[in-house]
Amino acid sequence: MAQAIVPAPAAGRQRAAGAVVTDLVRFSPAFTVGAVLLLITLAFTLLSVLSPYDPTDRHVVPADLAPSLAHPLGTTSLGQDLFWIMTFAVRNSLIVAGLAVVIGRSIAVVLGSFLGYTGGTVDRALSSVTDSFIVIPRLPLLILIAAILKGTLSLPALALLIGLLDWAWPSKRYRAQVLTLREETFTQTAAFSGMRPLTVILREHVPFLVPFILADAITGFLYAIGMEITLSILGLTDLAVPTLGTTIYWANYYQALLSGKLWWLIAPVAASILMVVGFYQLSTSLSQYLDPRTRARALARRAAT
Amino acid sequence: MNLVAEATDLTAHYIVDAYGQKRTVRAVDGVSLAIRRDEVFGIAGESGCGKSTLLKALLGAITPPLTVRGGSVSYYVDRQRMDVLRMPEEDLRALRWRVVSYVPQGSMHVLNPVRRIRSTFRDFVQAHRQVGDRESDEMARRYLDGLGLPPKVLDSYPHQLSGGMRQRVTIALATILAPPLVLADEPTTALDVVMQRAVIGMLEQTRREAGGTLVLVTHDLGVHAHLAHRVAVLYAGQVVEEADANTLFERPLHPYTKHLIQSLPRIDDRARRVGIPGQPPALDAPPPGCRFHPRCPHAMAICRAEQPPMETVGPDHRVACFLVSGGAGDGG
Amino acid sequence: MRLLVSYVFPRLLQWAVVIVVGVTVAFAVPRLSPTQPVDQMLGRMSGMTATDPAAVASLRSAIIAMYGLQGTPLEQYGRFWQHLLRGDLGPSLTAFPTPVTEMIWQALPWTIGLLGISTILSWLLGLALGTLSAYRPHALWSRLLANGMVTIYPIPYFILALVLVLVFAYYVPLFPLVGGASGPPGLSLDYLGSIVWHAFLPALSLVLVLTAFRFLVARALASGVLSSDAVTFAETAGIPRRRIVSRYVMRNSMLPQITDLGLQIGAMFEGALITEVAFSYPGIGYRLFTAILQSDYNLILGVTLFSVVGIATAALLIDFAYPLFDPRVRYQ
Repeated sequence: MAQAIVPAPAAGRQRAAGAVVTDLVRFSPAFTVGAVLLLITLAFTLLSVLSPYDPTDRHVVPADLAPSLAHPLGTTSLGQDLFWIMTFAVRNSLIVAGLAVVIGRSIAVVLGSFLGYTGGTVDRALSSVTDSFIVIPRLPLLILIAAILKGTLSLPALALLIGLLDWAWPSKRYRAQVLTLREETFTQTAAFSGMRPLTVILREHVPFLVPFILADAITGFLYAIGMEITLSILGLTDLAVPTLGTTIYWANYYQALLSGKLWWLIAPVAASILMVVGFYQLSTSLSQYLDPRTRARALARRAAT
Repeated sequence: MNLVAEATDLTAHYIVDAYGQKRTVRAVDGVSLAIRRDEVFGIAGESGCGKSTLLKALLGAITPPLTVRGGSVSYYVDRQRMDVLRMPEEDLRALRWRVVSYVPQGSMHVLNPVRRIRSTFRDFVQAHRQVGDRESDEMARRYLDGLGLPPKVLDSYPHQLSGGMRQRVTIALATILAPPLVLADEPTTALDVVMQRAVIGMLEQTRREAGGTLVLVTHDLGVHAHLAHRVAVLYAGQVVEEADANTLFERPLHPYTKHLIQSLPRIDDRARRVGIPGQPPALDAPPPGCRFHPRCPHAMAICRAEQPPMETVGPDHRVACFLVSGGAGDGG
Repeated sequence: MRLLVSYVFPRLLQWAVVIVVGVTVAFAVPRLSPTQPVDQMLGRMSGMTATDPAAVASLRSAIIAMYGLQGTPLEQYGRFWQHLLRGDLGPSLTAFPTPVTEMIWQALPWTIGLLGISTILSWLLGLALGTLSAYRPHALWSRLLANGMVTIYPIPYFILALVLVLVFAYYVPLFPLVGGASGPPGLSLDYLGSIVWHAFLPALSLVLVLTAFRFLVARALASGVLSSDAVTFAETAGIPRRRIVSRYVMRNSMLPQITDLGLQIGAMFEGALITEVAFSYPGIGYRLFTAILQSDYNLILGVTLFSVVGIATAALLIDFAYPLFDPRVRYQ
C-alpha cells in the first residue's frame, strides 16, 4: 500500500505535540485503545527489574505448577516462574523489535529520501534494485542466515539481521512521500521565494515527514516482533534468553499442549496478541489523523448542527 | 406556470469538523433564482464564488460535508411542485435524467475507465428506461450520429478519446433522454477554442431539437453572450445581478458585472484590460456588509455595514447594490 | 508489438534482477559465516551415522562440489550458477544422497494446495467484504467487521495458528493436530476426505490473516473509488447501487489489487510456510523446519533458492496477466 498521503499545508498545520495527543484521545477510540495497551505493556516490562529470579536461571521454583496465588502465571518445566519470565520476555522482544526498526527504518529513510530528492537514472536504477528486494521472500533468507549462524546469534545480532532485511518496502514509501512533497505548492512557493533546497527540506518537509515516519515505524515494529517470534519458535535464536518466541519454543519442546500445561502457551500467546493489536491501533489512528481526507470525511457527519 | 425550477433563499454551507476544529464555508448564501421553461439560463462568476455548489443544490445532490442551512429548491413537473431538498432519496433518483440531468465540471474523468462508452450508455439509459442492451446501443448510436459524433466512439474506452470528445460524450449522456432541465457546470473550460465551439454548438443543437431548459454555469462571459437568454451573476455565494442577456451586457448596473464585462477582450478595442485589485473573498470568512465592498471602487460607508437588498429595476432585471437602491439609511 | 516492448520487456528484466540478487545473496551467506559449515556438518554427520570412511569421503566431495569450495570466489559463483541452471540443488545432507530437488517436489503439492486455496478464498472474501464495507461504512456489521479485521491483521501467523490449535484441537477437538492426510494414499474418497479434514485448520489460519489484509486494502481502495468523479456522476444519474458496485467500484478497485497481489505473494508464501510448521503440515515449510532441526544446510539453501525463483516467477506471471484486466494498458 504505497499510497502517499497528501499533506494539508497552511491553515494551522503545525499543532504542538501535546495538542495532537489530546485531539487523538478525544476523537479517536483506536488511539486510546492502542495507547492503553502500550502503557500496560511498558508497565509490565518495567516490572522485570523487580524480578526475584534471574531470567536465565533454571529450577528455582517447582516445575509444572498451574497458576496460583504464589505463581500467578504458573511455572514451566524448566522450573521457572512464568510471570517473571514473561516480564523479561516482553522486555526482550520489545528491545529486539525496537532495535530492528531503528536499523531498518534508518536505512529506509536515508535511501528513500536520497532517491526521492535525487531522481534521474540513479533513482531508476536503485529503485529497480530496491523493487527486487521487495519481491524476494525474506523468511527463507532469514532462516538460512540464522541457521548458519546458529548458536552465535545474540539478541542484538538478531535485531541487526531482521533490520537489515526490512528496508526495501519502507524506503519505497518514503521515496513516494518525498516525491509528493516536492510537487506540493508550498514547496514550489518556498523554492520560488528563494529558499535554499536544504532549508526547504528541513523547514517544510521534515515536520511532515517525522510523524509519517513514526506512524510507519510502528508497522515495522509489528513485522520485527513477528519475525522474532517465528525465528525463535523455529529454534534459531539464543534459546537461553527469554523472549516471546523462545518461551513458546520451550513450551513446544516440553509438549505443553499435549501434557496439559496450557498456561505456558496461553501467556505468551495472549501477551503477543495484546501487544500487536495495541500497536497496530496506534499506527492506524496516527495515519488517519495525518490524512486530511479522512479528517474531512470521517467527522463531517456531525456537521448537521 | 412557465417555471421549471426555482431556488428560494437557498443557503448551503460546507461544514467540516475534524478533531475538534470546525470550519464553515458559506458557499451559497440566500440565493433565489426562478428558472423558466425552454430558456438558457446562465450563471456567471469567478472560480470559488459558489456556482458549482449552487448547481449541486439545484440538483438536490447534498452530501456531507455540504449541508443545507435554509431555503428550498423546487421543480415544476406536470403541473406539480416538488420540494427537491426534502424528497426521499429514491424519489429524487427517479427524477434524475428524466426530469433533470447534469453535466459535471471536469467531465474528463467522469466516464468509467474500464468500460467502453457503449456500456456506459447502457448504464445511464437502462437506469431510467426499460430497454435491453441492444435497444440501448441502437439509441446511443442514433443519438451520437445525430450529433455528428463518429460511431466508433461507442466502441472506445475513455482514455482513447480526446478531452473534447469525452466532454461531448458526457453531454450526450446527459441529454439522451431529453430531460426538460439540464444543468451544465463549466462545459467549455479546459478545452481549446475549436473544441469550445463544437461543445457550444452541440449544446445549441440538443436544445433546438429536444427543447428544454439549459442552466449553464461558467466564468466565461463570452459563452453566456453567445448562448444565454438570461444571466445571473454570482459573487461570494450571492446573486449580485440578474437580467436578460442583452440588458446585462449593454446596461450592467452592479460594479462587479461591469468589471466582468469590461475584462472581456474585444476584437476592435485594443485598450489594456484593467483588473480590479484584490481577490474574491475566502468563503469561510466573508467580509461584513456587501461582500464586494473591499474591491469596489464605489464603496460607501453603508456598504461596509449592511448587505444590499435585491431590488427589481426593470422587467427581468434585479440588482443588489446600494448604488442602485440608495445608500443612506435604507437598510434591509 | 509496442505492448511487448513497453510492458513485457521491463518486467522480464526486473524478474532477472530479482533472481540474480536473490541467488547472489543466498550464495554469499554461507561463505560469510565465521564457522566452516562443511566441517561442522561433517562433524555432526559422522556422529550420527556409522563412520564408514568411504561414505564420509564421498559425502565430503559432494558437499565441496555443491558449495564449490575449490577455486576463487568468482569461480565458485560461476559454478553455483551452472548447477542452478541445470536444476541441480545438490543432495540433502541428512537424507543423502536424495537430491534436494526431489524432496522439494514431494512437499510442493501440499504447499501449493494450501496456499492456492487460501489465496483464492481470502482474495474473493476480502475483496467482496471490503468493497461492500466501503459502501456502507457506518452500518453496524461494517464497523464490527472492520474492527475484527483490524484486530486479526497484525497477529503473527504462528500466534494465530496456536490460537486455532488451542481452540479447535484441544478444547474443541474437531480437527486433527498434525499431518496432511491419513490412511493409504490414493484417489479414494477416504483419503481425499482426510486431506480436506487435515487442511481445514491450516487453511483457516491462513485465510483469516490474508482476508484481513485483503479486506483492509479493498476497503481503502473502494473508498477512494467511491469518492471518484466517475462514481459520483453515476450516482447523480440515478444508476442503481448494485450496478455501481459491480461495474464501477469492483472493477476499478480490483486493478491496483492485482498488481498488489504480485507484491504480496512473497509474504503470503511466508505465511504458508509458518502455518505449515505450526500444524506439521507436510509442505515445504515443514520440510524447512525439519531441515533446521537436522542442520541440513543444503536443503535450507535449496528451499531458499527455490522460493526466490518461484516467487519472482509467480509475480511475473501475475504482472503479465494484468493487461487482461486493464484496458488502459491493452490499448495504448
